[in-house]
Amino acid sequence: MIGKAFIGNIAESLNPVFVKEMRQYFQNRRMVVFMGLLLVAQFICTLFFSSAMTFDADGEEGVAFFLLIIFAGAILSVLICAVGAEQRFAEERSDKELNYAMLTTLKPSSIIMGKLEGAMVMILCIFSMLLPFLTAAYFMRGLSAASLLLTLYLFPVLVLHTLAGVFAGSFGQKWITILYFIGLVNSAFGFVPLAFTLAEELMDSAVLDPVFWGMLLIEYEVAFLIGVMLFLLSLAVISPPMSNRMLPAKVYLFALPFLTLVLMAPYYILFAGPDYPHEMFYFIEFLFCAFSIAVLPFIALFETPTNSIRVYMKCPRNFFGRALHFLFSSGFSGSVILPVLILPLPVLLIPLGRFSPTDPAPYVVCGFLCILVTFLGEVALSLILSWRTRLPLPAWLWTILFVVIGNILPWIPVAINEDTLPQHSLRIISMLFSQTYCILECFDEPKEVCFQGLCASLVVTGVLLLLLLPAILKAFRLHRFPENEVKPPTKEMTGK
Amino acid sequence: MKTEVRNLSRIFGKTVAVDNISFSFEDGNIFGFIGPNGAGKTTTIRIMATLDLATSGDVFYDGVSATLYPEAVRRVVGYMPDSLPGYKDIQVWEYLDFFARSFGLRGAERTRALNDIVDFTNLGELRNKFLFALSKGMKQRVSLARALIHNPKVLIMDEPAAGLDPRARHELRTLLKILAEQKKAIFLSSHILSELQDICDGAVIIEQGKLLSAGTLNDLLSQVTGGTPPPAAAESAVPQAQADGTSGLSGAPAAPRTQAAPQGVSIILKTPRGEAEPVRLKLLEHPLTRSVDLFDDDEVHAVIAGSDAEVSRVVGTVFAAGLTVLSFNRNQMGLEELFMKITQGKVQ
Repeated sequence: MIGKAFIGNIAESLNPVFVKEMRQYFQNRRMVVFMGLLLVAQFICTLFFSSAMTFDADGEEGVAFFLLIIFAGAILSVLICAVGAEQRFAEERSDKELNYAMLTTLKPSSIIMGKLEGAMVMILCIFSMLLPFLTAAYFMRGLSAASLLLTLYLFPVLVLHTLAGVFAGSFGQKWITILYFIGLVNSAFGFVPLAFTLAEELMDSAVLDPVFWGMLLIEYEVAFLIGVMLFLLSLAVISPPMSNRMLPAKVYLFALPFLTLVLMAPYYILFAGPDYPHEMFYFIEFLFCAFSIAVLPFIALFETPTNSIRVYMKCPRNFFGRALHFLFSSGFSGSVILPVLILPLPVLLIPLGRFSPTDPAPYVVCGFLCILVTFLGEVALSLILSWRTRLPLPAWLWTILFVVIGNILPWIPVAINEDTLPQHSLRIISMLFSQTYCILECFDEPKEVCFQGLCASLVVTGVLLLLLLPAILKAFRLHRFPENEVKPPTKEMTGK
Repeated sequence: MKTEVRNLSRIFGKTVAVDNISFSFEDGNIFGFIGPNGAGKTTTIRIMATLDLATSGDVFYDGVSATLYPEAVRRVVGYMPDSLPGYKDIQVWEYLDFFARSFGLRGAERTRALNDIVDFTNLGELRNKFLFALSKGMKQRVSLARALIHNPKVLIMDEPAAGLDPRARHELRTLLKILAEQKKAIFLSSHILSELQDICDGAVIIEQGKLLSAGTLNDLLSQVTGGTPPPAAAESAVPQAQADGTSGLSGAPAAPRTQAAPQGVSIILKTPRGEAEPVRLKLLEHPLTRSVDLFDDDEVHAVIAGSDAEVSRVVGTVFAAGLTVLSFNRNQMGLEELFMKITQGKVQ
């Protein structure tokens, strides 16, 4: 009785979306057919291998069979779980079913988590279905127990694919679904050969090498960081417009460079030695800084033009609290200011890289990334500017004009006479020109050109920020706790 | 529970979908929400159900703002949309179970709620069927069950009768009447005005996002015909309108359901041939007579308007004069006529 009650309690505490997903998965005809076909195919393969093949001492056939099964499982998992999650979520969104789920007391995070949990359990189901045949492969010789660790490499990839599927599905738009499929095919092209190469290396019993564990750790950490980002973006997409839906994504992006440092610490402690490439850590850190700086302005484009009163209700009354709240909850303004706050971090972390003064490579990469980031920032800012100033042209057209005119004009004097205008000033006038030119020149004279490119981009970014400043200041003036008192809900309504 | 829509506006780009509308209603009543296509009904309903956010104004449930506390409001509001349940690979009871779980119902409480709602909506035989295998009428019942699974106090319905056959409509009407008797406030939009007329206590009429008229059916008819509203409606609705600027549905005790306000009586009298004209003139002298027409020199068609007592007195004099009464009908203006009179058929 106690056991039954215990199981009953667990069943009651399950996420409702997860329960629904499970019911849908196991009642889907295509799913059942897939499972059946998988079992039949494995059975035939086992018979074939056991009767037609003669296994040698080092068990190469066993390894091949093992790889075949593992990759079949991975591909099926992606097809059934990730694509299935994307398709069903997109349908729910377009059928408006998601709206009705949102009208319950479910939180958007529960909905996304439920979807993810459902897909993960299905992946586990598929792999558990493969177990008898993996056992057969093991007993058919040659399959080292250590090589089973290959599946550890697959897991984060599958989770990320599923999260990407949930994210694409959360839009409920056909063109996003098409983009997702293109991404999936592209990923398959990149992933499958890489996985086979990796598998071959692993088969040489190199799995106990610290490098293996180090790479595995990095893979998991990177997958975790990207996965959280996808989760938060999915959350933002399905959250109602009245909520401050980009807040979690903004907080996360702002914390990302610091979080990366924390996640890299165990790697340092466990594996760092005198010959270790310290600059690699700097580049990883720099990469995440660059990612945050570039993505934060783009987030502003997905925020509502004016905050709802719900957001203002959470605004602290003191100045410091209000300023902090403004940074993260003020629609576009915070998304423009936050990257400026992150900008000094890569500079402060330069000692982490312990660059060799004679090796220019780190500067080239840093310069390249700086240029890329500032360019992305410029594009995002110009989009925001066109949106805020409410120009008669649509934002995308305005941006194209901005980028095209800004980049073609400087070429004209160059075409007439290259000596008439110093190239240095050209780089400042044209953002794309400066980016392209700098990237091309980077390899010849890295330090100087990278610095010039960065300066040019910063000038454009600075001008754009100045143009946006009045709107930001106005938003800050309006960002305060509302004057009117509002009646709170009764206990009956809150259910507490 | 008092539901109050206050100065609600919703703007999409340059289109003003809802333009500063205000009205309110209380529990135990059924209110119709009518207007031409594109009038802003669905937008208003979505904001009331916390699915959308108003550009300005708000909706209050017992004074609690739907904008500020949507999570709290969702516990007391049930929303039945115009679209049908669309989940795939799921049975009816699993679908309802999902929503019951989503509203935080656990264990025996959830089982009881599911059984009650399945009985109420007569879904017992369908509970193990897959959603995709259901007809439109059945899906509507599932949709109603979903909206009621958490026993809300206010039920908001968007075109609930659209596409239903006469039997299904009759069943829906019956269910709504039972819900109103259970002291739930029901607010529903529909194009089938004859359906609304049979069950509604009041109506809100909008066109091009603007509120044209709101009140009990008696109020609305009085506004159109210029007559005096009955005392019950006048006492409750007018002060509300004056006090807070709303159009005043609030607190209006239910007028007898299924009856629109009387617009007087029509009488057809048979007179000896050639004597119709003196009768017509005699009738026209009476202040309550609205119109008198002659047919074939021996038939008089008269419309007499006034309170029941006044009309009775006039009819008494007709009988006393020894005239033959061929027909005697109480005139009622239907919601449809009312709608046609108030709206102009403009869309945004």
